[in-house]
Amino acid sequence: MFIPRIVNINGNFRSGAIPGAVVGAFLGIIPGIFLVMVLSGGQGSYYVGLFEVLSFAVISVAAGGLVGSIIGGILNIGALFLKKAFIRFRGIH
Amino acid sequence: MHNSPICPGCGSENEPGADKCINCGNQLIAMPAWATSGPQRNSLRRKRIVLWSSLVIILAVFTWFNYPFLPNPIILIFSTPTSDLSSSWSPGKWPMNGGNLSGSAYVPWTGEYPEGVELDSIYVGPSTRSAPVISNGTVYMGGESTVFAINADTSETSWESQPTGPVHGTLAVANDTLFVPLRNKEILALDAISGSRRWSFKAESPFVGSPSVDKGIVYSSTQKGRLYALDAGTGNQIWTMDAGDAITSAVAITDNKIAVGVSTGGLFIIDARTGDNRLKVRIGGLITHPPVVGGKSVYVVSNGNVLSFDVDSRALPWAYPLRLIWTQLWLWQVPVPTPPGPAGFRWRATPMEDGPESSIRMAKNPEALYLGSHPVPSPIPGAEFVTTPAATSDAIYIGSTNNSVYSLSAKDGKMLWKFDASSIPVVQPTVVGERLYFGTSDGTLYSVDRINGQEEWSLGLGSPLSAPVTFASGVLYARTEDGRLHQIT
Repeated sequence: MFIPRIVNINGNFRSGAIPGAVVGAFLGIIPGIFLVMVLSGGQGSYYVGLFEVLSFAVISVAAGGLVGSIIGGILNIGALFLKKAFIRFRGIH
Repeated sequence: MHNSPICPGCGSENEPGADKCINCGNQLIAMPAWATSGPQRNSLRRKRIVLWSSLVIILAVFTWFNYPFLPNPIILIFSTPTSDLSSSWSPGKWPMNGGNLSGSAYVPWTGEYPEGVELDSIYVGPSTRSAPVISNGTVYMGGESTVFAINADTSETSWESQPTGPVHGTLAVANDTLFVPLRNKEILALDAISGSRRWSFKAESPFVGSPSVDKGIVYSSTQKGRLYALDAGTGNQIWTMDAGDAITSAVAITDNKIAVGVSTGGLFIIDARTGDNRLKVRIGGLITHPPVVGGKSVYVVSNGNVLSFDVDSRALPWAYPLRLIWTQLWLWQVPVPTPPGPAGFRWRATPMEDGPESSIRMAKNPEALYLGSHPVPSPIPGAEFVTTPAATSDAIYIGSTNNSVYSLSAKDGKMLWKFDASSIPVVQPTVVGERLYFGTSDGTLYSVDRINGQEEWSLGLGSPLSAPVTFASGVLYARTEDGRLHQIT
């Protein structure tokens, strides 16, 4: 069969999820930075307390990590799939 | 027997002793036995469960603090009101600012309407913004460092109390307890019969808001923007909320929810029992009058416009800061979609000449982003709404600087009718059954049919109203800037 079977999807997902989570969490800081910029540079009152800013940043980082890990895991499986397909294709020809 | 390791990733067979899979590059390290079975494995699993559970709990706590989807159990259990006192309206009473908890200045009435005849007029001292409240045939008012009770039938003073500060807020009466906000940072509970003090509570800044009493809790706000919920029976604090800036003079209560207007442009809907935040809207423009609730809508006046919000709406977690960021990016012309209007926003209206111009479309217009900070200009040059609206479930009534009182549909803000008065309306109109009463800056009191906007009568009071007209048992009570209290029947 041309399309190869991938063994241990869970393991491959995990190996991609960890770097994905790190990158996602790092990108998750950005909304928190934007919020601080808006609050510090705007006009008038925004009614956002320090705790709300802090918790928004924490949740944003956590959400970024979660989304990043899912994307990273899927990408890793996809990359492995392509790699195997390429090796199989090279072996045939 | 060969010892070729199999890749756990791709299943390829590799050379004995290889570290990485020749096919996919995965590590080929075999796990030690203790890590795959036995008590060590269980210990690792437990640690992992504890780690992830802790993380989930921390995130849930962070979310709950900003979006409490459950009532605060500490307040519910340990801060229970000791009475069921309420300043809600009942026939023969006008127990608080706006006549009822929603602050709408609407009371039902099926009896004879006043015909514009002045029954009595007495001097009650220097005028303040404290509107007369009526309960059990007694009129209560605050003055410059005085609180007094007047017999509604004889106009004689029943008692007079000398508190230690001026009283500029409207009093609230619940059963036989009178609540008095003072500018010397105290709120007092007095015996409504004798005027004797029952309890007092001292805050960090002057009490400027008219108190409201509901389900045994008295709500009053201070100049520095703190809303206090106190036990109406004892004066003990149940909860407090810091709005950041000065709260407008009163709050509106409906269905266990409180609408709080902040003078710098914030509208908060909070839980009346626990003070938990349900909705927060940044209007932007100054909020100049207290919010009122009519039906399921809360109305605020900002920069000459009146805005309607759904009082039941509730923001999603993190929607408020996300919208702040989104709007700012959009304003910076970053290629992002146009942000939606704030949660609960229904419509915005401005004084109109004639021919109803629907303002509901503003909710879908990018201009809705700015709300009050960039008000919709009126087609009438310089015309702005300048009074607190009176609200029923189907319409609101509000005065404007072009000497008019408008009736707007509660549904979409369309103009129903406009009444042209002799000068600018000065205080919140009062709705009694089918009649609308309001005063103008030249000292005229008007009675208008609220269904069709036709004038019933007008009466010269000699001085503008200093507080909204109140009503009980077929008699109107009007306090004027010259320090007089008029009884009109």
